[in-house]
Amino acid sequence: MTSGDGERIDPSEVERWFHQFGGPLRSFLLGVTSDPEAVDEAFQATFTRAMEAGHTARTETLKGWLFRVAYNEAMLAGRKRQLRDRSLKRLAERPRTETATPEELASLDESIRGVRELIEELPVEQQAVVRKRIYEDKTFKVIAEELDAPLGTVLTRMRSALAKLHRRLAERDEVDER
Amino acid sequence: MTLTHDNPADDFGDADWLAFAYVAGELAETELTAWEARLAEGDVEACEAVARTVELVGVVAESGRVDAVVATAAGESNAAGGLRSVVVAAAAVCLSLVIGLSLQTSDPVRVAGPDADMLLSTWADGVGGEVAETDAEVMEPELVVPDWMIAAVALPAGMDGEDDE
Repeated sequence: MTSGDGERIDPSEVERWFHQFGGPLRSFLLGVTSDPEAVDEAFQATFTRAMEAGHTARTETLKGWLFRVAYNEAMLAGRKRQLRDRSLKRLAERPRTETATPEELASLDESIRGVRELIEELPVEQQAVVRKRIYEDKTFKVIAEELDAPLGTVLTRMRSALAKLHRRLAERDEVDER
Repeated sequence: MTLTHDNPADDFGDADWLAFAYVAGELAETELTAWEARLAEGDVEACEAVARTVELVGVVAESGRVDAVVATAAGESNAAGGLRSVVVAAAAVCLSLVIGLSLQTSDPVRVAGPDADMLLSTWADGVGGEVAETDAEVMEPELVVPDWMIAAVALPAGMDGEDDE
């Protein structure tokens, strides 16, 4: 992965990584930091680091290497910003990616429609948990109290609902890849 | 990801579930430590699960936001429609009061001149009817129209309450 001098990586290789892994890395960073500004900082730092030390990464473990670098940069950015606790609400408030192409936005809109339909098709009990946990950002403990249901039952409902939603998004990704 | 299982939870692995609990801030301290150690090591399964969870939460939240926007827009439309109705009704009541007081006063009634607003003329013809017409013929008075009344009857076309439904 070097540019020929044995010390530095070919910038075009890093650019390829950016296109190949940029999306998942950005989402990963958002999951770690819950802070869009910290994401931007860590994301940029990750690829700066890739330019500096990418030649040390092995092809077969490249993705893990990038995730590891990204995590470390997220921790640095997080410490600098003294990030607050994680919150689904803060994740949910993030704007749509500015770099998305019209095709990606169309695909996203289709996913949103599909997910909304799927949520409406979920059993009412699962819908209630999804709405309370993701839309209202209530903890599972609070939801269990509100629904007067055992915590384990609430967790099972959420997991089952997430599995269906997860599958729907995976199907979309498969279609997109074709 | 396998899609052949009947139980939806079967194709939602522990990594995905832990990732959801992680981004939701629901992991217990010991679980959190272990999970973050995996992330710090660049465990691809764990890291990719976090990325997938963020995407999933984003899409689900966005779908909820669309619902909320639609509901809010409908609410605002109803509220705006109600406000428009109230404004139009208030204007009508005020017009009636002004005309009523004008007709009862001993001062000469000033009726709209030839350059008066067409709508006000129409209204005067329909409401004040015979009295106004008779007085106008005899006394040729001029109707003084308050500014607020002009503003009320000159509401923009979009605020005429027709789209209340």
